[in-house]
Amino acid sequence: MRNSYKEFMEICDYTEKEIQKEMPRVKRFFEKTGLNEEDAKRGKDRLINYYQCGELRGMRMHIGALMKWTVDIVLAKEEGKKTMWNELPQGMNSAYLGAVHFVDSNIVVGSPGLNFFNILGGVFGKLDHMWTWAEENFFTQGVAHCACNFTVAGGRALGAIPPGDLTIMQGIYCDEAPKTGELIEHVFGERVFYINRCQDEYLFEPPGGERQVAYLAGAYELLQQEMSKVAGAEITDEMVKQNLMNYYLVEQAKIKEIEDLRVMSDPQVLRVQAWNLLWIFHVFSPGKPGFEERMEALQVLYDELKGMVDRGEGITEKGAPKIIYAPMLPFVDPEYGKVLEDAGINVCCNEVYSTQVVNVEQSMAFMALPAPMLFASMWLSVPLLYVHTRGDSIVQNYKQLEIDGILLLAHYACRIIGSDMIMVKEFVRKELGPDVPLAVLDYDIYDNRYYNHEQARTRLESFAEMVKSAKQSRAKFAA
Amino acid sequence: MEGMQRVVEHLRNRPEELARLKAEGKKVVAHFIGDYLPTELIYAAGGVPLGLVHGGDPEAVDASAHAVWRYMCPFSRAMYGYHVLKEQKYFELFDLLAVPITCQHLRRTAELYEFYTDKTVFKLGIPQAYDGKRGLEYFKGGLNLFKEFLEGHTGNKITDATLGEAVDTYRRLRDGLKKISELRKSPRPPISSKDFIRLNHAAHLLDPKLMVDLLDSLYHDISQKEGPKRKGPRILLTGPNIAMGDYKVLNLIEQSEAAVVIEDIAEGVLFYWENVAANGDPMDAIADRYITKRPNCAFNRPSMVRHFDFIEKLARDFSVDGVVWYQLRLCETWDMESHFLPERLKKMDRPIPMLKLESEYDIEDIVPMKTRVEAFVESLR
Repeated sequence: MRNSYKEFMEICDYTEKEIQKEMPRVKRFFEKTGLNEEDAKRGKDRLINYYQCGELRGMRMHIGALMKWTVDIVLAKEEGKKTMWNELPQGMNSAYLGAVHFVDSNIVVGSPGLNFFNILGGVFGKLDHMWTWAEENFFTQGVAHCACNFTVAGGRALGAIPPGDLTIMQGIYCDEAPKTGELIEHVFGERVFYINRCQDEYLFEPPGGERQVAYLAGAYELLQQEMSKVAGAEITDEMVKQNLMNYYLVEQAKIKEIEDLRVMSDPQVLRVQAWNLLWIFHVFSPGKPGFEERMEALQVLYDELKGMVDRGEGITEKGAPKIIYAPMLPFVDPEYGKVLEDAGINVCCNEVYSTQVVNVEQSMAFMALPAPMLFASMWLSVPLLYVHTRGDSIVQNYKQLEIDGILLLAHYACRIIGSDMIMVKEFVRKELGPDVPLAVLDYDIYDNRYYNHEQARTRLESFAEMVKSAKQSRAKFAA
Repeated sequence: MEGMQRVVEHLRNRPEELARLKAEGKKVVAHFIGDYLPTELIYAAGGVPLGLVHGGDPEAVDASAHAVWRYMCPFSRAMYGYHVLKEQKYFELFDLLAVPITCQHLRRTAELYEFYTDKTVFKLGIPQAYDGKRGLEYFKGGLNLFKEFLEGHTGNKITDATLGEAVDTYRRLRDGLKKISELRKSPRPPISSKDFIRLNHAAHLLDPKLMVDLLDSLYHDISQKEGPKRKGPRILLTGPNIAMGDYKVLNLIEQSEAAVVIEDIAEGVLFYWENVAANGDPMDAIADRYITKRPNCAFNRPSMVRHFDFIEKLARDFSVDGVVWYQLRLCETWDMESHFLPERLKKMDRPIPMLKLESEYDIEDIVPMKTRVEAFVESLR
């Protein structure tokens, strides 16, 4: 009889020695998260079909790194470890937490909810049991709650996510995530730290005002004190900055190289769903913890993709119409992006892609700021936070990358990056005119029960046809 | 009640009066009604404060559909929808819009005004956590910006004297409402919840000095009287919002012969509960009242313990038999909090049951809501 666990671990690039050593832990992980051997088989198939794990060792290494990290998270308390979690939806806080490894590398740092979306949702397609628990208990159906929080709460209730000795819940984006933090505090007795900002910036003004940055920085200062308490040793400003500059940003620079390669490649070399996973995985990087493994995976993947570019290989035809999408594809429905690719579309980049070259002088001045100010400034300059910066970014990319179509995805239930999508559309239409092929579709980043997959397929295929025919018409007209 | 009649008459004439004040050069400063926006400052600047208190109308909700996605709360969508419909004069009359950024719904509504209209918007950042000085300082910074904003637009300087007078006026207004509210501790409340809520709404729309007089005279009218004898239970109504026009839950409770005797409603009611201190620096006193002292709201993080302490106190002080939790559909923070209150109420010396209702301002809500209210009231008898 085939051993599906072993086959799954092989496709995740575990070595023979690692398989022998890690098998009991992996099986325990399956048990704790409600997975079984059938899921292992399905996971392997999905990795091959949607994430190019059959062809690219760099992808296998990434999935392996993600899998090992997730196993460490799930088993952390059983193995007697201290834990520090940064829960969805804010990524860069993980880079703050990662600084704790300068004083104690045994502390498990991570983002359980995010890892669950990528591994349990994206790879195994099995998160429903956690969502059902959440809906049956604290998240009334019909209120448009965010499934991001279903996983964060349900995962804990079912014993899959161990309690954090310190858990960050962010109030930088939305209200529901910190409210879930309160739930976690109340029901599971976890120590929750809230990072809030007052969202009083004006539309059309440059983001990151002095007052707002200072207020948010104050939250990071307090976080640093909390981290020191849990770690039992002082986490200094220097440690946080080192973790940011020598680890987190180095990793971001490497993933940006892959992104640039992907965006410029024709034919397209990397499936968008694989990119979706990579991007979010690295945004949530804790910096120092697990750095070498992730960097090695990035280098191997870069070399493989570069080889494909040099050989003119790809997953789409050369000259396929290119689209930009906003904000991201669903984590738990890897077929979503494939529908577009199968319809002959190069799903080129997402809205936050930047063609800007880093201004070294400016960056150096920036890096001289104290760590809390630095993080606050970085966060408040994220384009995804504001309607006009989202619109600007889409318009710039459209023009510079010679994009053929724009796909705006309105994330169901998200009062932040969903509810503003009509304004983003208006903004883009105003800048680019009425003839740009553009569609706004309802979907859900986290929960594929909230849209009908077959309806989504029909719409995505229609959008693909619209983009292709617009491109053909333009070519004819130019000729 | 004669006093209520007078309020209704003034309300009827208020849009024309506002138009006249505008024509005379006064600035009408509208604001959302979550009780985080110090109207004292507007008044001190010689502006006309106008709380946008309407809601309950499904048409206004629908009218915002071209601009914002459907999963925003109906009150916030209506706040923009009324402006689109052009049927509700208050939503056209104002010159400036001041928005306290409490929840994401109202933040988005402020953006709709910024994006789609030529109205000038001021945003007041509200610290979501009770973390002492840090949040309070941020809020004070926002108040100073608001002061400058108002001075710039009205052309009037806010002085200690004008601010002191405004604080005093609003203190009297809140005291007037609180005195009337506390009459409902009696076994036979002399004023119904619906009328009391109307008074709260009127206080957002009418001139505050006039409102002080109206409340004084109403108090004088009713304080020595007893209300009708009721057989039904006494109810505490809690929830994010009761807008002017969203009276179905109140009607249903009244029809079931129960009486709402106290409300813990974050938007539209309860702004009278805490007052600005009469002494000390007025800006500090205002910040303290609007951030530290006021009852909290579900968007605060964390909020539940403090919120439930407050509800428990109200329930005791007003001898309540049951709690009705009335939330607007799609309000995610109130919904999450709703799951925890029954457990807390059960632990009281005299356990109190709770009924949860929700509405999207849809007319179809009424029938199932009626059945549930009747069954709940019956279970309390």
